[in-house]
Amino acid sequence: MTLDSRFTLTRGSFELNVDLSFNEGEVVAIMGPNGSGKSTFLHAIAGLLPATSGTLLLDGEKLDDASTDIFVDPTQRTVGLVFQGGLLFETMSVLDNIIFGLRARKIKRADAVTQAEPLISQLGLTDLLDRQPRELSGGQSQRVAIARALVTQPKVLLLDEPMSGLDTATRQLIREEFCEVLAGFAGYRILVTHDLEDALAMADRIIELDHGKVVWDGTISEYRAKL
Amino acid sequence: MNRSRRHRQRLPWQIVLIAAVAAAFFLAPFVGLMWRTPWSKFTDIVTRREIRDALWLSIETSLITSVICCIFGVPLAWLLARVEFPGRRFIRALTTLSMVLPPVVGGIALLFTFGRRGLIGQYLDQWFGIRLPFTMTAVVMAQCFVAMPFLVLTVEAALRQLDLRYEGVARTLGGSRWYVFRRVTLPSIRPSLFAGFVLAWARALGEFGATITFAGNLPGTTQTMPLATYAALDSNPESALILSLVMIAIAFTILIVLRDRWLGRSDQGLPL
Repeated sequence: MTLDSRFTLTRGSFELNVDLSFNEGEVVAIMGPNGSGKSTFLHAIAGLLPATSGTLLLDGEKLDDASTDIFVDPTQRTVGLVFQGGLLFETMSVLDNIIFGLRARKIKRADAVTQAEPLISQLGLTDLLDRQPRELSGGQSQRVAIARALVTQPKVLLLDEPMSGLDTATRQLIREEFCEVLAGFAGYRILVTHDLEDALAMADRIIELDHGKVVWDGTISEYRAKL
Repeated sequence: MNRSRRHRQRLPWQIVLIAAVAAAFFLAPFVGLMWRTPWSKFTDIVTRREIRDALWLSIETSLITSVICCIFGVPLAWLLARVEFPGRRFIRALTTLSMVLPPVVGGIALLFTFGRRGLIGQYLDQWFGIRLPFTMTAVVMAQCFVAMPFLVLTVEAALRQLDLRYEGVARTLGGSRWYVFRRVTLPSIRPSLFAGFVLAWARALGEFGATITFAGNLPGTTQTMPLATYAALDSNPESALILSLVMIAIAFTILIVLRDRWLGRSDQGLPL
């Protein structure tokens, strides 16, 4: 099973041009300087930006095909997104954040809570459920964001700079937690980061982007050899 | 103590002086008004029937106007903030035009559009027997015309400031556009929505020019407080003074209470 992205995406004067294939089960870190197209790539996978040309296939199913006007809505893509800082919905409690994806699918609140229960205890969030996002630490917010992304059982997990803005100690802690979560998740795992340490600690494969183009693609050991 | 004394020494007296002149300029007319107010007749005038009618009509129409402004203004603000479409700049300019226009011009435009012989008004009359001018509906329409821009601008600014990624995450979690708007976007902009509501309300409450042109000045039906005040100025200046004071009291209360509670406390600065 693969996630195949062969597309071009133009935004103003910026052009992202990729030909990348991802295997189920591998953790891929996408690196590159600011403006290299890392986040744009994630947005395209998530369905928040349409490709200008080319195709995006998940397990053989077309998610985006610019030539035939096929564009699967983000709501139908089974993709989980985690951003820097967690980006929790500030006007909802932690619990409501976590079950948002289930409630959006018209699942009754009580059922949604039951369904989310195993994930909540796995991530150690049981005591935080009534809190408001602003009352959480950086690490806690990030865990809630992961729970929120995983609750709908996505096939693809996209992490956009999830550890930026955390202090070194928290970062180390969260990194370990992320490794655990990523290990327990069976689908496609793509991590965008500008931090080489994060990439080396968590990924099996590293892709480097620059000015919208892939400038490096190889395994961690190959990357280490290059250093 | 030490801190504040240090700050006081640093205050630039030139700025303070000019600012004091500006503040005095705002204050003087109210003092003048209160100086001439026949306080002994206050209760007598305020409890008069036509005054009570005007006050009630003002409150009723301005509240209806604010609600209508929200119902139509929020989707318009969303469209202007979120969707790129040809003519967006034109629509935005059009929406805010009535803020710059003399209200009486808006009233004339409404009259020639929705009046009995107006572009739309003639068909409303012919087909449905609806005549808008000189009705309470006309008062609300005139107020909406001048008040809605305040809500649209406030809400649009809030929407523009909102990180688009929140809505993006919500969409990937399976939220339809409407669900995301209702559950994520709208709650996030609630303070601005409320501020826009209050601004629109305040503007509607003080509306004069468009109302008198399009809705006329019929006591009990279209005569709002500003119109009653103006009408009284000719026949009974004492009433006009007292009515003015009532309007000032209402507006001032709204501004003070709401500024602190909803428009965000921003009282920070050098201690004087």
